Amino acid sequence: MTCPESTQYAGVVGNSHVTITLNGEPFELDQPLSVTDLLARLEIDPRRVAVEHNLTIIKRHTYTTVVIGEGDRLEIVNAVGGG
Amino acid sequence: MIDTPFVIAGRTFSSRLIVGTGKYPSHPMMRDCHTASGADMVTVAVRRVNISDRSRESLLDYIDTDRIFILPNTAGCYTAEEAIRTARLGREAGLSNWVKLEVIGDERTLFPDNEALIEATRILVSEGFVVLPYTNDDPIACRKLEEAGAAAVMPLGAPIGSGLGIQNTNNIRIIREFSKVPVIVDAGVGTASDAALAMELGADGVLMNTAIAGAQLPVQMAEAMKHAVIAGRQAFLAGRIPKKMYATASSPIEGMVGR
Repeated sequence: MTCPESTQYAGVVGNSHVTITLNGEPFELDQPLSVTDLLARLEIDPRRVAVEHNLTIIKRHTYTTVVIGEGDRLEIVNAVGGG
Repeated sequence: MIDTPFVIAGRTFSSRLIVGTGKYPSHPMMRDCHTASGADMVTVAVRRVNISDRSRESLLDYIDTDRIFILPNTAGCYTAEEAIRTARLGREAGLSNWVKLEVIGDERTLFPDNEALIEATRILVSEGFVVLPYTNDDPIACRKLEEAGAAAVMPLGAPIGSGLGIQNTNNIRIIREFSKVPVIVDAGVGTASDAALAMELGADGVLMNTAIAGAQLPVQMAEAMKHAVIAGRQAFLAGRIPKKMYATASSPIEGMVGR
């Protein structure tokens, strides 16, 4: 799992963590992030996923502006094998 | 007899065989099966991204999307709400505004919940989806789905993954007679003759996953299914002879040597 305290985020002002629920599991961020930044940090190609934020699907063109903060529930889905 | 093209919601497909992307031994083998099957539409499921392991290759890297149309499903959904949510996510993921709609009513049989299925069909159609519902082999359910706006109806031949073959051939025939939209037999196919039979009954297409992915030699089975669907379709168009109880000689009775 990507470490929430990776060196990439060392030196971020303040040390209050943000806890979100990501795909049903608790997940920690150093600070609130835009969807674009979160996907980049998770190394997820934004073209191949859909993101649901507190039960609302986020339109792709708003990924840079929608911010994920404390207590938010996020679902990130993609295509897998199925019949 | 020249066949009519296989058209769903205005889109023409060159193959009447639709295949899945699940349960293959590997992604490369899946791709080889898709090629061997000749299918130009494949189903995919919509699931959570694996956050902890990003090393796994994407399924989509192994689907030739220039040639193959992707049909996201709502497999595993037990309510209309869940299925609608999944269909919307599949659309937003850029897969398609088409959906193979599944609303399951029972874990052991994976039989559909018709009432919820019809409701979900109505809602998704109103949102602009092209809805292909997986349904029971029930002509009345199929008629209601068509009235709800389904672009095709997909009655099961037998329970998903059972390989039992078409259990109620008469119902499939009746569904074909009732329907104005394409009828695709979805689920239950075990081997090539099952696919051929579905087509001989008049189905417009056949959808399968396990029969190919679970075969001992999946690529060979994929090719067998391609031929079976073509053979079954041609036999249907050609018009089979009536069944009779007793023999009718094929060779002349006159001119027998020594009589």
